[in-house]
Amino acid sequence: MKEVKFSLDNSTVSLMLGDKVTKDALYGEVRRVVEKDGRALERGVLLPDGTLLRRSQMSSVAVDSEGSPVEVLQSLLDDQPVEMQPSSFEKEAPIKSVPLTRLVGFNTTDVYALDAGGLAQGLYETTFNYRKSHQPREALVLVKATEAWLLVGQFKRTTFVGKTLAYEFFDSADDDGDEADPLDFSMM
Amino acid sequence: MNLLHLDHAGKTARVGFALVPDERPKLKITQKTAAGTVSRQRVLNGLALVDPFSLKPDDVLNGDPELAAALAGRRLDVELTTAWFDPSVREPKPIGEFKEVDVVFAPDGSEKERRPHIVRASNFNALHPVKIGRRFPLADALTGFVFRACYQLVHEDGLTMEFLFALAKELHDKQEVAFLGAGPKGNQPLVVREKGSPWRAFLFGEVRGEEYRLVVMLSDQELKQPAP
Repeated sequence: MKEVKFSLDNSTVSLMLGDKVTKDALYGEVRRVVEKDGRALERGVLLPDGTLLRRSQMSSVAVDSEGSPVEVLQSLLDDQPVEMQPSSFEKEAPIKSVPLTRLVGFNTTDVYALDAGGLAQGLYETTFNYRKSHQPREALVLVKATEAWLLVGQFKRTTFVGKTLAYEFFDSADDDGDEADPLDFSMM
Repeated sequence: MNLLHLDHAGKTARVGFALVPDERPKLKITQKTAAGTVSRQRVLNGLALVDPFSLKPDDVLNGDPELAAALAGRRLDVELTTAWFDPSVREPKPIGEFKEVDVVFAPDGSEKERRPHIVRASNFNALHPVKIGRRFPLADALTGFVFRACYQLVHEDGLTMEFLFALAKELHDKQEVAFLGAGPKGNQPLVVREKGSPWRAFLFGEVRGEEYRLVVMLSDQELKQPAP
C-alpha cells in the first residue's frame, strides 16, 4: 500500500492506497481473438503499397513544423507555460466532504481500494494523479462502514430542466470515445 | 439528440437521451520547442516483421534478423489499413475470411468458453421500450456500483415533460434509484452504441420546484473486492 495525504479542514489526513480493482479481476474478461483454421492471427497494418507491418514496427516521435525529431521544450496552455503537477504521493491535495448525490454524474475510470484510517464515513471530493501531470484528475473518496474506495474519473455537469430547456447545453457534450471490450458479467 | 423509448406506469414515450458536458473542460495543452509547435509523427522504428519468439539463439548470434535498419525512420504519412496475418509463418501475408471468436476467461485467468464474437446493436430506442424494473435505496445504489458513463433524460414537448417530471418526482420522493432494462422482457442490459458494450443502467431522479433531473447511470462493475 502507498500513503496518500490530503488536507481536510487545515489538518492532514493520511490514507493508504491499495490495488486498483478492475472488472476483469471481479468477473473475468472476454478477449476477442481472430482465427483462421484454428490458428490465432495477429493484427497489423497494410500500407497503400502492399507492405504489411506489425504494430510493434511503428513508433510515434515528436517533430517540429519542418518534420525534424525534437525534444519537447515547453508545454503551453492558452499560450502560457504550464508546469507539471507532482504526483498525489508527493503533494497533499485538498479534500472536502460532499453529499452522496455528488456520485450522480461522476464517470469513474479507475477504482482503488483504500484504507481510510480515521476518516469518518461519507463521501469526499478531491483530486488525484498517480503520476505527475498537467491537470490532476477529479476524484471521490467513499468511506463506508467496512471499506473505503478512491474513485478517479470526471464530473459531468448534469442539470435541472424545466419548461424552458436549452438543448444546446447538451449538444455541447463530447462523446467519451471507446468502450471496453464486451463482457457478459453476472453482477446482478 | 438521441431518443430513448421509455415505459413507465403503463405509458410509453420517446424522450431525449442526451450526453452531458464535462463540469471542468479538459485542458488543451500544446507543446513547443524553439523551432515552433511540436506535433506527433508516426515512423517505422527499424524492427523487422519477423516474430521475435520464432528466432533461435543462433539466428541472433549470426545476424540481425530482428532488425530492418533500412526502414528505420521512414515516415508513415499514408493511410493505414488494418490487416490480419499469421505471425507463425516466415513471410506473413494479409489473410481474409477469418473468424472472430470471443474467448471468455475466469477471474483466475483460466479459459471458460469460446464462442463466436457477439456484435450488439443499440437497444435504447427499439420496438420494445426500456422498462423500469427493480428499485434500490438511493444510498445503496450510489455506493454499491461503479458508474462509468451518464446520460440525461430530457423532454421533447409538454407531454413528455409531464411524463418525465412524474417519474423524477416518484424517485425523489421515495429516495430510490430504478434499474432500467431493455428487450421484450425489460431484463437485458442497455447497449448505447452500435457494436457497443452491454451496460447495467440505473435511473436517478430529483425534482426542484417545477424542474427535474433524470440521470441514466451506466455501470459494468460492483463496488467490491475480488474474491481472494
